[in-house]
Amino acid sequence: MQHINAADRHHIRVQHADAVIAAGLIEAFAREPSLTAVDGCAEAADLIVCDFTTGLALSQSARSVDGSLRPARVLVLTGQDREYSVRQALQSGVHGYLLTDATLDELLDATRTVLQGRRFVSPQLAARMADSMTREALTAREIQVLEQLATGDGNREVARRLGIATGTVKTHVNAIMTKLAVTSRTHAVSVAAQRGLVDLSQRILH
Amino acid sequence: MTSIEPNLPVRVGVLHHHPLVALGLRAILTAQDGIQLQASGSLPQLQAWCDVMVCDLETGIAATRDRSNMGMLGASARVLVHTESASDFHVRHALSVGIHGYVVPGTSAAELLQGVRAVAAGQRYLSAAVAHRLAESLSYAALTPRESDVLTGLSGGQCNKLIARHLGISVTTVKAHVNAIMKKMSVESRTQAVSVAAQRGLVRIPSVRAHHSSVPSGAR
Repeated sequence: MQHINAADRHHIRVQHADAVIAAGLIEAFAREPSLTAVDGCAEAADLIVCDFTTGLALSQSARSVDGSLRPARVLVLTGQDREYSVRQALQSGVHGYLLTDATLDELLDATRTVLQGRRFVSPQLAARMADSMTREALTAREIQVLEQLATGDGNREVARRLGIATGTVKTHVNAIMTKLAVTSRTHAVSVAAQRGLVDLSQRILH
Repeated sequence: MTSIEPNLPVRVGVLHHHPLVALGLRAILTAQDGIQLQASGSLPQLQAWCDVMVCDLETGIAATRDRSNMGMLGASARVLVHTESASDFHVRHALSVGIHGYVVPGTSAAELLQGVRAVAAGQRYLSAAVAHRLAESLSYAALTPRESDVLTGLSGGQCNKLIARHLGISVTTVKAHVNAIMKKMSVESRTQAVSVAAQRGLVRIPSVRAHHSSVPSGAR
């Protein structure tokens, strides 16, 4: 193992809500001489490895400070493998997105990539995102309509809620069904839930 | 093993297919009073050596299967699973095959230790999040197996006629099932039923991660 200069040493902060994952991360980083990891402490760090919710909060707050200090990079480690979540995280400025079933090599690969200033997404997720790009993407409005459909609303309610004409809703629904290659509204909702195209979590719990 | 001597340490093994989780579990369980962490080993080895095994769901199910096959033949480890899936379907299945403990991510180190000790003592243990989920599932009427079949068909986008054909029942019967499902789930449309089912994990939706390029059969 080669000698590591202090300057090459990277400081990592582990801020993960799950105790088991946090302990696993600390243990994994402890095996790497070039990395120093601490658990949930406010010390200056080059990289913060955290859960999904923390990652989103951190990168959003880093944004609002408008960059006088170079904020730490954020690597999210999560079990949320839905396309929607990955998009949401990357759009809010998260640098790396890794699934909790990652191998230790993948973790180190992701860590180094993000420390070098590049983005990282779990290979399985990258494959899936690539796959979804071969399909026609839904527009923002279509996603809104789809989310309303998931609540069980009819065209008229959807129209009222989004402030558009019923005819327009019908057009959106037809476009959605064509893009998802399904023949019914029910199937569209089911496919959307499986692929994680929409966020169903808040809307349908009673 | 039916009882643990109070002053003997609980022998614990970890076998989890997520490397980071395995590492974390070992880090937490090592150097705990009253817990003796076993070195890694194969499933049969750990089962023979341990009082409690902490595993992922699949390994846990395999372990309980072995445990019941072994019957009276030998002491075999009880199983605590640590898994990401807290869906009704998985929790019920796990408990029904004889898994003693079920914890999900978000569980604290203290909860995990409490779980290991409870399972070692022969008790069932669910982490707070799982218990909450299960309690919620009791607040609505359970679907019959046939209703689940119909709901699975609905989730696949099938119309009444197709569901009827697949299940070998009449369209009227399917309609009756669909009405019963909607009533039990207190929803007003088929679409909402599918959406709530996906949310609560009532039907087994093929894992997207496992077959990322697959499109549900009806959509090809």
